[in-house]
Amino acid sequence: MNNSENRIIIAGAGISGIRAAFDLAETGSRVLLIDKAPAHGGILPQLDHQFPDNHCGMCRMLPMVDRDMGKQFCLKKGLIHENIEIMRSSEITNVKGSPGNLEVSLKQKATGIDKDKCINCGKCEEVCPVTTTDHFNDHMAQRKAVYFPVPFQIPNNRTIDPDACTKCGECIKACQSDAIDLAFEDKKQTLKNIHSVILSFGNPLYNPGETDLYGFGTLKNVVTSTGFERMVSQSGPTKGEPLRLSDGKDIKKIAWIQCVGSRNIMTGADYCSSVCCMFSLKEAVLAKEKIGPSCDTTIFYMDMRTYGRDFQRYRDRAKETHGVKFVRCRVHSVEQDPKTFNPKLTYMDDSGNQIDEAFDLVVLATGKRPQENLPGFTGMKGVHIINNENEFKDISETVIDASAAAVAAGEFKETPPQKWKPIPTQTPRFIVAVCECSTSDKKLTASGQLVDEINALPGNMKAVSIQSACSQKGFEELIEQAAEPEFNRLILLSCNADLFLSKAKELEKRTGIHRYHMDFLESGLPDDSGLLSKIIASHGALKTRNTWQMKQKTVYRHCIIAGSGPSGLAAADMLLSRDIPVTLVEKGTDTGGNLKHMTGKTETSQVKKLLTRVKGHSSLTLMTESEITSCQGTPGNFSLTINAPGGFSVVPAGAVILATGGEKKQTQSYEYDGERIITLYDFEQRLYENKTGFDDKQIVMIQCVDSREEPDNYCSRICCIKALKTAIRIKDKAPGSQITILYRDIMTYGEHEKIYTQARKVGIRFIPYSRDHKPEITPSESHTTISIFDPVLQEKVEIKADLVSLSTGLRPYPNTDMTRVFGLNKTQDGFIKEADYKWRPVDTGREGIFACGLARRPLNGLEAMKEGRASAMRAIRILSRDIMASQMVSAVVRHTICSRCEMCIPSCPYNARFIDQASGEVQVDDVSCQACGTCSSVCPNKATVVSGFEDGGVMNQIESLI
Amino acid sequence: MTAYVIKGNDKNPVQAVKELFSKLLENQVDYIFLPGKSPYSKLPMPMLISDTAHMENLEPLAPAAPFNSAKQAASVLKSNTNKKIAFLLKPCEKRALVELVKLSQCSIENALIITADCLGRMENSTYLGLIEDAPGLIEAFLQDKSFQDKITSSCSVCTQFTDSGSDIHVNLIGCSGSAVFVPQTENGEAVFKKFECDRADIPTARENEVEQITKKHTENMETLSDNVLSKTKDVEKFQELIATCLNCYNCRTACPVCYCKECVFLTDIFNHMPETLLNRADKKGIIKLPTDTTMFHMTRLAHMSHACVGCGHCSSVCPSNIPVADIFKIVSKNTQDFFGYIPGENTDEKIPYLNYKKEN
Repeated sequence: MNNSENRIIIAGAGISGIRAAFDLAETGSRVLLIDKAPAHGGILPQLDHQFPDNHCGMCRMLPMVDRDMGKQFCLKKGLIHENIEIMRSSEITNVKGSPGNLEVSLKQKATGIDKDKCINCGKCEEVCPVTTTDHFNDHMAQRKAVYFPVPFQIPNNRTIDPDACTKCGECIKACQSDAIDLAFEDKKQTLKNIHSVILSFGNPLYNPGETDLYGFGTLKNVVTSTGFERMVSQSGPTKGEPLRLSDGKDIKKIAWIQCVGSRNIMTGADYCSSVCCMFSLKEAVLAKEKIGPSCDTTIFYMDMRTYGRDFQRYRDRAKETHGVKFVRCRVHSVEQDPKTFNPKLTYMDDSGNQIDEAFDLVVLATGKRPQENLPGFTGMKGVHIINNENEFKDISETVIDASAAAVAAGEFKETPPQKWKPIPTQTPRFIVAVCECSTSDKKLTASGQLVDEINALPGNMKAVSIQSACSQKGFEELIEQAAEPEFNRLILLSCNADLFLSKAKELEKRTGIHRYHMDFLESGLPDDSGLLSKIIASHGALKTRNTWQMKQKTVYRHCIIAGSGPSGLAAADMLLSRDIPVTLVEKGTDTGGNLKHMTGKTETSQVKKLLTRVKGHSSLTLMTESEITSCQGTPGNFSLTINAPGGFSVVPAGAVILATGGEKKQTQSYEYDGERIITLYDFEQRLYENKTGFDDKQIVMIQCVDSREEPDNYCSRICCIKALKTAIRIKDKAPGSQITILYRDIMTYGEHEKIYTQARKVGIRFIPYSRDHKPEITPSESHTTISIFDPVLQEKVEIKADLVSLSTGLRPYPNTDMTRVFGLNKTQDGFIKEADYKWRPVDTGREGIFACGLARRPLNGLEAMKEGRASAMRAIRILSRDIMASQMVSAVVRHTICSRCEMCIPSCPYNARFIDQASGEVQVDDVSCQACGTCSSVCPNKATVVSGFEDGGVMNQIESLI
Repeated sequence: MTAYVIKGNDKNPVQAVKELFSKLLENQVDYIFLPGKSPYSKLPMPMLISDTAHMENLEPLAPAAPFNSAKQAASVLKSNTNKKIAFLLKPCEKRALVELVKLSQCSIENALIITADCLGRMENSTYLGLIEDAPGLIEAFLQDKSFQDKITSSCSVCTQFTDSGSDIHVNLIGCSGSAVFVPQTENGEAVFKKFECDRADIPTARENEVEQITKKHTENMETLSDNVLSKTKDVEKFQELIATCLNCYNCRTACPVCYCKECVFLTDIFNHMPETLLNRADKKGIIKLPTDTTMFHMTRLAHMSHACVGCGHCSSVCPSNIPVADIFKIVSKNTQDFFGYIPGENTDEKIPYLNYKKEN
């Protein structure tokens, strides 16, 4: 700790903190990442399954540029990167000074256990007499006062919960390595010369016990969403078996109740928690997957807020393919059957009949609580906040927020090229360290014998025994032994192999053995008879690792941005402010994008500011009426052809940001005539032009016109909010007007919910309709008749409207499709498809090419600007360096035996392979290659291999095991 | 559908095919590629001909082939020479060639592919034995059903003995001794515009006869499947079946879709040092030599079963009489059914490994 090079401090090591830390670390910045909790990862370690494929995927956040700086390792388990230092149980107490030179005071809570002495024997936990509920398992399981905060993290030392600890001293007596101190004294320190601070606090979760809604805490089988995630998690109380925790019974029927603690003025929550609809949908599908298709799943909801780009189709699949049921209502109450302990829901169906229905399990979709008591330094210059809107966001939007904050906080001095120790080519000479524990039950029963057996093996191996290498003392002993100049390979056999991954750098520095030549093996159980084989296998792999040549390419410090709307401008602004030259390629004659169609004042003024700043910058080249027609090259080294009015030009660029935008959709539905039946955009325009004459008029607004059904089966995200705002303004101007909004689900996510509340307050009428029962429309001379089935009245109602407004959505510009030029994928609706929806939302499938704004998904102007800034951050990972270098483990083609069948090219998930037109050979782009090995498994004759995993080494391993 | 017969040769399919290729070579293509007799053997080998003077050496439609000629066809198509070449291929040869196109081993842009109904081929020895005594064997084979029982095991289970994707397909089955030419692409259609030939109808009997053969072969396949599956229940059984494999790699050489420049089994990985073999013997007490035979066959199944066109040549060339083709036939049926993939159908269909996605 106290690394004086740390220039940026990030408080909060959840997803957003980690994203920001990696972004900055990839540019070479030194980051100190702290968290109040004794573990990193925020809520993520508790969640095993993510939308849309029910896998985790957190590792997709791992750095892809200069990946040798970190460990490609499960991020829930450990975060290992040379430029990131982690401090747990810590918080910032004060910040002083000015940006670029801040003084930050930190407080680190004592965990009660000295990790340098602890050998993780677990005796303390065994003897601890205190039992309390386990936060990690959403308080559904018990733990001791001394416990693992996250059972699978590394480095993982137990922590003592000072609130639960009675200081009885039993643990001190049991501890053999004198590692426990129950004084719990906080460590305080002040760090100087800090460039900036990023706060990523996240939001607390709503605790439904607070107001005793739906019997949480009293009824046995009512759990929160987090609780449900723990119930189906491999690391949960049932090891992933979906069983009721109260009685171990099978679960066959589950209800999800939405908006618990959200959209409820009574609980002070006049907001939508934004993410609960999607996680409940995911959980319902997950339940079908885990328990079986016969599991009955019902979601009780008010509006299913599937406002993300691909969410509506996910909902449709949940219903049609998986058979998830949906009931639109506010559940009245939950009671419990005294015999079976089955929770029983009381609710009203569509026709107003009361229904009582029993379930095996009720899941409360609990939302956010606002952040409270933000520290005083929050608003200071140099202190950046991720998620300053204080909103709940899904992973995708969280990481966009984080990257957007990181780019503002970073200093981005030019990144010096990595200097790796060349891999030595001497004859391999091994030291094999066998770690022995002082606790008898974990001791390798025959360790002495094992050492002898290893020494008897051929292959230059010398075995030594080390006492507790996980303790500081043992580690020093290991270094002393391994530093003997005769050794150039290290195999360490211990009970916690992962721990040493984080110590590899120090080991390399102090022993002189290249990290590429180290292997850490897990000893497993004391009676593990395969230990010798493991060592022979490791020996076989390490001895062949000899050659590696770093290949380097210069980076063009120049970014090309296609599109000058809000997202493109925001990206340009960020890059220009970091002295990175930008060429803005705009297809139209004018800059600013959809600014004209924006009603939001904040958005308009922000875009205007951006335009002034960007256009005034000397490093900007603006090309209007221009279009990119081709892109060749590799990240850092692209060469683009731009077609401008003056002719074609070839422009080099280190990175490209696609912000080509989109447009409002026109319609022919509902007898659109442009006069009395108009689009919402026309309506807004009339208001904007101060047209009057709305008094005493019947106005009907129809939502989801040509949206959320095939072929455009997606929500455009802005129309509900726009429609409500427009309706409120009309009501304000013309109180005598009657406004009815016909909707399917009102998508006022987050704080936008307040607009919905206000709309209802001012007397706007809302009638829901379904895709199967759309409103029918009959124009006549004097008015338009709209007929719709009202589910509350249970009959058809007719409205004679003077004006009908149709909320049509947004779509990407069909004629600025850049996906073909750049070889990218599109969604079926024509949006640019990102590398990974959740974890790499503004990256495309091709490293160095980024996408943001409306070209990627429907969003509002402010969100577009944020995405623009996030993509600037991602681009700076490349643009801030002089050279891009290949990494130690990387794909290589053996041209002499390559048959050029080209199967490896489309199978590469990173677009890192291509045919060199001149030689006809298959080439690997070393920067984009992530050494996943797909090419090598597709290649039938191993003409492509992954260095470090060559067949020789792998065959040696197999040979030793058969 | 328009169909044609060659004037004057409407009762001799072999002559009709020869005539077609002769006319093609005269004024439509630069080369023709079809089976012919070599001076040294009566077995028909693929011939590449530039001059009509050599037409009499040709032996199209013979119920024999020492190997699947797709690789040989690919060898003249692997780079763009701007020369037009007309090929006569068996349906399985055409399918293999299409697979090689997908694997970027050649391009058929300048090729005119002509296929003919295939009633199966005999093993080389069977064919050579018969042709000694029966000079009119080829014509007889097309008519006489008793000959057709002598075809290989692979041919007897083949249900793809006609072709719908080639430029021209020669209908023989149900055509009472005629060859009826059916153009199936624009290129194929163009051929008949350039020389005189008679328009004809496809005989009505054809459909029924094709169906009969398909039915019979499907039944054969079921029997084969039961038989092979019972012999390959587990690894031990499988090893028993391939016990006499001598690692000659003939099956790999004969395989028309095994396309690697250098097989992985020829690289250093499998070129074991004596220590390795001794070490294995030490560990197990006894090992069979050569080693890696199971690995070899399993690997070939993993690499090529999706693309197997069922030509059966792997079995024909095996000196140890291992039913390699039967095993391939059954495994590849499963692989191909799983991916819904028909190898050799058309060049646009992607190799399943490249576009297979697990559904959400």
